[in-house]
Amino acid sequence: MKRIFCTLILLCFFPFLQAQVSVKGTVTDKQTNQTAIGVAVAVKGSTLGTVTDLDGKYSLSNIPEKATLVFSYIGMKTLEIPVSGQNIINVLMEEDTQHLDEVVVIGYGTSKAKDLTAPIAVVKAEEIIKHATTSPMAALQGKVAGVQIVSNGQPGSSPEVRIRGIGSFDDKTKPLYVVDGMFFDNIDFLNNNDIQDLSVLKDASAASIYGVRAANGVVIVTTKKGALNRPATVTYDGYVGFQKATNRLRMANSSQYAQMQLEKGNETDASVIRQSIKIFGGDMEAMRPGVDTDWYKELLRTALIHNHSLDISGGSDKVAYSVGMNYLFQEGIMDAKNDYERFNLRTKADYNAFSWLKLGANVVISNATQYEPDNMAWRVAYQAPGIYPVMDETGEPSEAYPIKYASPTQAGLSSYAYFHNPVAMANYNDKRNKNLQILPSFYAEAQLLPEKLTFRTAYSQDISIRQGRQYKQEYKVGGSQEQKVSELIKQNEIYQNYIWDNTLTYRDSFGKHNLTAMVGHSLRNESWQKLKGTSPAVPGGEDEYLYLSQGNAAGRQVEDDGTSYYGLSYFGRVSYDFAGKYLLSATMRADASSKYQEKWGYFPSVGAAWILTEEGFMKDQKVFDFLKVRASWGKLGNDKIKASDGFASITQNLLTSGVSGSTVLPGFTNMSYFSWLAWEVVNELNIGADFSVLKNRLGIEIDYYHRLTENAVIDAPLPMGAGNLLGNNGEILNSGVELSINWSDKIGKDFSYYVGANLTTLKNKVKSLNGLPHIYGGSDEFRTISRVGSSMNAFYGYEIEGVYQNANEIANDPVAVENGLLPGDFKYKDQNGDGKIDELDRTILGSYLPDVTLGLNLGFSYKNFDFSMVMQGQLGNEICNRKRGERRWQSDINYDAAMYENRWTGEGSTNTYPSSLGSVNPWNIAKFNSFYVENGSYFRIQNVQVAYTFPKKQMRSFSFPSVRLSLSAERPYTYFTSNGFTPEVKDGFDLQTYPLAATYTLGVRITY
Amino acid sequence: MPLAMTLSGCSDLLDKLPENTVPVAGVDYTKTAEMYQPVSGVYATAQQNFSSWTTYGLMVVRGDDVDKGSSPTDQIEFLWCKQFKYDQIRSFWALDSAFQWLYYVVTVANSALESLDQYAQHATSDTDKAKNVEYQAEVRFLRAYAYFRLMYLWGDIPILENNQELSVAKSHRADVLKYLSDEIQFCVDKLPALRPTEQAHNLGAVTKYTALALQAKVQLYEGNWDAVITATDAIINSGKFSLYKDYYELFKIPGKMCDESLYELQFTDFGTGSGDIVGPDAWFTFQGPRGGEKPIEGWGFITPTEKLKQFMIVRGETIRLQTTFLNTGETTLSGDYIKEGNPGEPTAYNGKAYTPSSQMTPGRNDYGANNNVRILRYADVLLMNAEAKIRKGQNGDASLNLVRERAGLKPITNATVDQVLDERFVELATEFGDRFFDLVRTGKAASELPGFVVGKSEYYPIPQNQLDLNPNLNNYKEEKTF
Repeated sequence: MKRIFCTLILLCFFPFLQAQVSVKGTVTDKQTNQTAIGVAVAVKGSTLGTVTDLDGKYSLSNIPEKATLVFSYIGMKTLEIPVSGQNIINVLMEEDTQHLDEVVVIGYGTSKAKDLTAPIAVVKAEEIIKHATTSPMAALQGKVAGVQIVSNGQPGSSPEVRIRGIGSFDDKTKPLYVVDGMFFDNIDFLNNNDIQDLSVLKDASAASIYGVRAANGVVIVTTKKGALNRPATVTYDGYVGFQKATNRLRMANSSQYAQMQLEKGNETDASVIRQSIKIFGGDMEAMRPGVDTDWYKELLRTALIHNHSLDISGGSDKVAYSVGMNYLFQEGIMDAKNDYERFNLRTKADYNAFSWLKLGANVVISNATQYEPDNMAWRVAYQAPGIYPVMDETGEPSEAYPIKYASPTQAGLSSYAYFHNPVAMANYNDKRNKNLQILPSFYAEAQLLPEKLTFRTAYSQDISIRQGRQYKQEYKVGGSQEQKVSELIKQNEIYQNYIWDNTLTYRDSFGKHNLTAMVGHSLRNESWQKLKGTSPAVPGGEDEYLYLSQGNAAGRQVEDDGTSYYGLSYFGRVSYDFAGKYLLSATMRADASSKYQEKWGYFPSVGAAWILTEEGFMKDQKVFDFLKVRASWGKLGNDKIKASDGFASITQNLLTSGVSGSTVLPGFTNMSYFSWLAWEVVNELNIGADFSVLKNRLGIEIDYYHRLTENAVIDAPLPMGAGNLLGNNGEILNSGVELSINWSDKIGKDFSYYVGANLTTLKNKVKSLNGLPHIYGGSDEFRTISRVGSSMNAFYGYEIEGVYQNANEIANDPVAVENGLLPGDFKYKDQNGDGKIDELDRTILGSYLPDVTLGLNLGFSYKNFDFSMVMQGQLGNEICNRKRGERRWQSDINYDAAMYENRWTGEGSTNTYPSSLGSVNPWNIAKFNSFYVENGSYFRIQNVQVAYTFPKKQMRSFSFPSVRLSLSAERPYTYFTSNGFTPEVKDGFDLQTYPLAATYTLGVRITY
Repeated sequence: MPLAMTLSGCSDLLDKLPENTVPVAGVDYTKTAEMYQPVSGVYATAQQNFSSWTTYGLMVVRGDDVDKGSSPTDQIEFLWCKQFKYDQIRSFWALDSAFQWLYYVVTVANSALESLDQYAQHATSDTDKAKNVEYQAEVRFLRAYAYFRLMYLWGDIPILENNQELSVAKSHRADVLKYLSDEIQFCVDKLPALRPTEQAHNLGAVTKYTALALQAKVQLYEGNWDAVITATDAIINSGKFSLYKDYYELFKIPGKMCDESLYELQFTDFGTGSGDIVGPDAWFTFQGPRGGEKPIEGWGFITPTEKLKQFMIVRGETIRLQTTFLNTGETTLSGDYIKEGNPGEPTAYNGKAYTPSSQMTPGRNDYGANNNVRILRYADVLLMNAEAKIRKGQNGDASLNLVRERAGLKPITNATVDQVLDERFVELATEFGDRFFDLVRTGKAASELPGFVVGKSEYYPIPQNQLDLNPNLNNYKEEKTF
């Protein structure tokens, strides 16, 4: 081994024995006929290179005689020109409208877009920084076919990202994020400005190189980096703006609420109105309350957001560097202490130590503080009728302290949590999360055989420290809304993960045969430690007091927990092409994990493509400028499932120790069921084509995917109450078509424009549940079912045929008579026709997964002015309106305005909504039915931006930087019909009662 | 160096044990001093699972002594149980969870018995061997009690003998009864003749008399009067048990593990105002006053009926009325004001689940914290004794009058069966379905309970979810006719 290594090192010095030449020249843009500035000129297969200066000139000396020069520039077609003894090489560069020569980051390497056999979507920094989002993934909404993003309005929270549907139960559907070689579950800690580009590996042949982590797709993120021989560029990019709630759901006002209560025709429901009038005023005669609190208005505010980032990057002939810092501050729209602040520092340096050795280091430090709002306040604001005020101004003695908030109990409403004073809830909340995340990584890359064999070793780490602190101060509002003794909860979590990758890459060409082969090895460890403490009676007032040791020692509690897993992998890839026409690539990964009894898993993939336009017989046709057909197949794994319990384990704690008098006797219970888990495996087939027509102006990419999850791990219940046991119990199929179409063109010299659209269809189907007919999900009251042959977690309940309209209709229906129904109650469909309505009549009512997701983007630029717009939406999904369903537990919660306006008021008034009395009849609300299942389709203008750029100007010795001013609106408009605050509901159960916000910002980018 | 580490050390890394878990293989069965640990684990499981509000709700709700309570729509399925609309509740989650909770006790008991077998193999001294048998009997009692509930809720149920064979078929009720009776007999034979409070190793652990009380109860439900007399006489003649003098306090902190108790689910706050606490699965909260203020607050289910109230008033009940009815808009004997609910909400809650705030450890804020749940008590034994004797033509006055006397009522001479049954209605109201099972066994259910159909309403349907998981539950283990 040692001897081989020495030989390899000796070989590296070999190139210096070759003849050396010098080359210079000018690079010109073919279209504009102007010299091109900043074009990278590299010697193929080495680290030598330079860039063109302000006049488009370059020069290189001491390069091998037989070298090939590579000219590249973003948006231009890359050119390769052999030196062949020339001293002057002038070059004309052509615009690359379909980005075929773009270098795409793939797993453990790079490839040209043209050479890919797999669908990989690349999103550039430009596209991401346009969006005023706190999480970079939220900026991708509507941009990439096959990627569904469900955004979330809370400052600092993650959007839900799904790539090509869901093939796994529970919360195991997150894609893998690889940031500079390190694995993450999300990239919320990054600022949009930290990112250079982002590749989405959608199919198995691209993703399977990540083996067991790749089942849900892979997103590779490269943070910003410098380039060799480039003068320092200083960029400031920032925006300031405000967020305002959109699509606020209209609620019934206090008179409308009173009217519905009275229409129920019983003293119980009328009494709260009477009580409210008695205490807070109003017209007792007309039964109209004097208070009309709009709880949402009380809770909402226009909130600030600003972001600043400074980036310096450049490079000498040996070092390329990029240093950046950014600061983001976002206020939440709830009018209470809730905001998110993040300060990031980033440094990356690449150093060519020798012509054969390159070293690099990269550190990202992200430091975030989040004050989390009490989101229950939104929910209570939805449920609370407007019949009591925010503050108690009656002057009557009140128990409320320290602030004189009014309590729902004063209006005779139960003190149940449904009615707590939402404003008090929001203000008595104090929950802070700090997240310090450090991502250091180092690599060394050695050319063992010049231009042919490269060895790379990289060590990446993720060290995250999450500190949570919640302080519950002493207060009382009334009823059960109180905190008698203060409580402090602190939770520290430390994540320490590392990955050590070693790869050996060999590239060679033999005539028309081009080959790249890579083998690699990777070792990784993921560990998590948690320590949590709780203490009562901690004095409040100042942050400095908030220590557990300040509280009552007798009541202190501590908890700790941890996990640690190792993973070991070997992987390899061979990419081969013949004459740039026939492309073949194959990968294989072997993964082992300490998590499972079955240690090893093997994940192969193969992909092939044929570029027809390179064929002789296609030379004469005029239709296609480029045409490639692709097919790929591969296996992917999912190890986000819980570790298998390889042995019966004993549980020993307070709950397994019997009480004897006022003490417990140590005891244990043992769980003798163990799960022998194999990994979930996704088998994916992808067939696609890329082509461009009409002089490369129209580019189309189309893919069909067929993803079958085998061995889906389901926490299936065991019979006889023996608990749940994870098992490889299912098969789930996701299939569909992805289409993206992009048109771009120029009119005249100054006007260019583009229009793009993408569309994804998804069909999700449970193929097998290992003998079980179905598995229930959701909650007991709001059931979902995963039934063989239908989509996963579909809503399951009674189908409504209509509303009983008159006494005659009731009298003629034995079901209505038996159940004592009245006109204004729901009529259910007797699915099995047995003349009864019972549980056997439940049916599938819809799915939360959309059939179609689509995105549209368009833009134009005219001289220094540019405009862009992104739109997105989805079709064919259903939402369960759990907000309305809450009435099941508390009949006098408030109504949304639609419930009031559309209620059944007499024969013919409506055939969909119940009457006021019907709205509380158990028949209508205690059976989950189609009234609560709504169409979840929506269409949204995601982002609109207008910008003007003042170009860089040279005034004598002083140069003015280039300045770009922009105005953007993020999510300004959404069209949807469901009765909610937003149609974006992660799991389809809309209990989400907080409004999403539109963000309007003014942005400045200064480049010097 | 790192390369070497990778190549040699990796396979070791892959064998890393999970964090924060102790394997069963790690239990040292030679340490007989720890032999009680698996038994204690079964008690802990029983504490939680026998006090599960879902099981309790299902057991008690069908009687005419209680209403569903709470808001009209909350857990509406309990109302359907009460109306015997069993078609509507096949998928009721509480029905499923009650089934699961009870069988979970069986599962845990089965594996505890396996552990005890291991200890038995390592036991050397005679004391340890004797203890081992006694411990096995404790575990088998708790398991038998789970079967007792299962059989009277569902009738034909599976007997789970091996934890690894979960796809069991049902057994006919007669077979279950035979199995249950044998198990109880084993406990009667092997458990010590002590009062639970005399148990030295575990205060409140079940004893021979606990087993006899359960035996009496089963035989009473099955109408074997001689067996009831034998079992109850054995308890009475031991002289170890007496009625707690204050019926009101019996269900509160002062009555915890008193000499009336044959089996209680024990809970404790360790006497401290904060920190660890062991409580039942919301059993108290389930029945606490709705909309009240902490700690006198809960969900307001299972409320005593107007029928029961009138019945008690006519009989001239005082202390039992005050104990059973936690009236709203009134201040209790212990000084708590019970807030009035909204109109239409219950006007009284179950007073037997009420723990006065003045008796709670200061700092504890949950309804019923630190109180126990009473399961088997001596008053029931006395009433069973009286009834069986009268049915056998003997005089039952002595036993019956002890109970009446404690309640402040005049003694009766030559009491009839109906008088004993009325006494049971009042004395045992709201307690784990005693009233419902009494009505069923005496053939009065159809006349007293609206909707009850003889032959159809006695047993709940096996939960649909369990049938889905184990289709074998549609079959019988072996065909036997009795």
